[in-house]
Amino acid sequence: MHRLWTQLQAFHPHLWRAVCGYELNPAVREELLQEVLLAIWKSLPRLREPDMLLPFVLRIAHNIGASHVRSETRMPSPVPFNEVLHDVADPSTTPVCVRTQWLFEALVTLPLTLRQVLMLHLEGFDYQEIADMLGISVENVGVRLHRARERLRVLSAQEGLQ
Amino acid sequence: MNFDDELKGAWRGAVSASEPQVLTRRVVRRQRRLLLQRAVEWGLTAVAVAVLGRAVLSGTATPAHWLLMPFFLLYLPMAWMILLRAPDRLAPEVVENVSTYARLRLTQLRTGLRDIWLARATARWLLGYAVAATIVVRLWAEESWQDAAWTLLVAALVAQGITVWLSRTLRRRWLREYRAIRRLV
Repeated sequence: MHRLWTQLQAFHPHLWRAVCGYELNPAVREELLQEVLLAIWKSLPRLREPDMLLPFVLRIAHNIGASHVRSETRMPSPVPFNEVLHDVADPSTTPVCVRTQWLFEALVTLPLTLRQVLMLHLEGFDYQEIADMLGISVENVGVRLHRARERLRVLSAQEGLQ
Repeated sequence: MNFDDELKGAWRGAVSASEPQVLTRRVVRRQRRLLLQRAVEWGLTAVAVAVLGRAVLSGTATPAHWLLMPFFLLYLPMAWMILLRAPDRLAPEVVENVSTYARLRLTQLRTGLRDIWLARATARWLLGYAVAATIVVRLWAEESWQDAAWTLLVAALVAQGITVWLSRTLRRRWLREYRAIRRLV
């Protein structure tokens, strides 16, 4: 086992969030996380700077997620909304887990180019770090992030969550 | 709270139910399964080469050996070429940045799709050979060749069936992935 493998456990929540951005089905999420961890396991000897472990593992997660996205993601079939049959949550008291579920359902509707930038931004990376991880310019990161945010804002407004 | 903070709060709300130790065990198990799979592939190849090679070198080749030899001479290299060149999501390129990975992955997928076409062509060619060999044997050869010809025909039909099923499944999956990845380049 690589000496950094135990250190990697601290980043499992980050990897899980990245996986959730590519897959909605909980069982498939677990499978995808295992695939990401296996790829990390195989790739760890190629990591030159141990300080860069988080960007390294997230790059792997996003690469595998991008490959996975169209092959196995299944959107749940939409159910028509009925005000009589469905309870409507009060937006002011909406719990975090509902917002989390909404966020991941909204994320999979975004194109990969916007989704990846937004996910890395939410993870706390700055524009330059995101640009390095995705191999695009800093300006492009700004543009994509703005578009991704706008799309989510519109979705959120449409669903009365904002 | 502004929209960005709400998104960040929601983002951090996602928590995995699996323990890190459990995940590590699963990863180790999966790694072993992959190694075992590759060992079985090597083992089957070695058995096929040993059976045919020994018969030819010792001069005890039966009609079955002679009829099946062209089948294996074509089938084994083709199977290994596809196994070794198949687009692997766990390939070393996965550590590159997303843009570089996408370009490399597109090349891998294109190669994979071309190999699928080659596999189907090879399976068709082998079936054609098996049918022709069976007809020739039925018409002109003596009794000892008849059973060997039928074995060859059954093997070719099985190979054709597996190839069609596998190539359809892989082609559909790789094409979907190709279309998704193309947008990242």
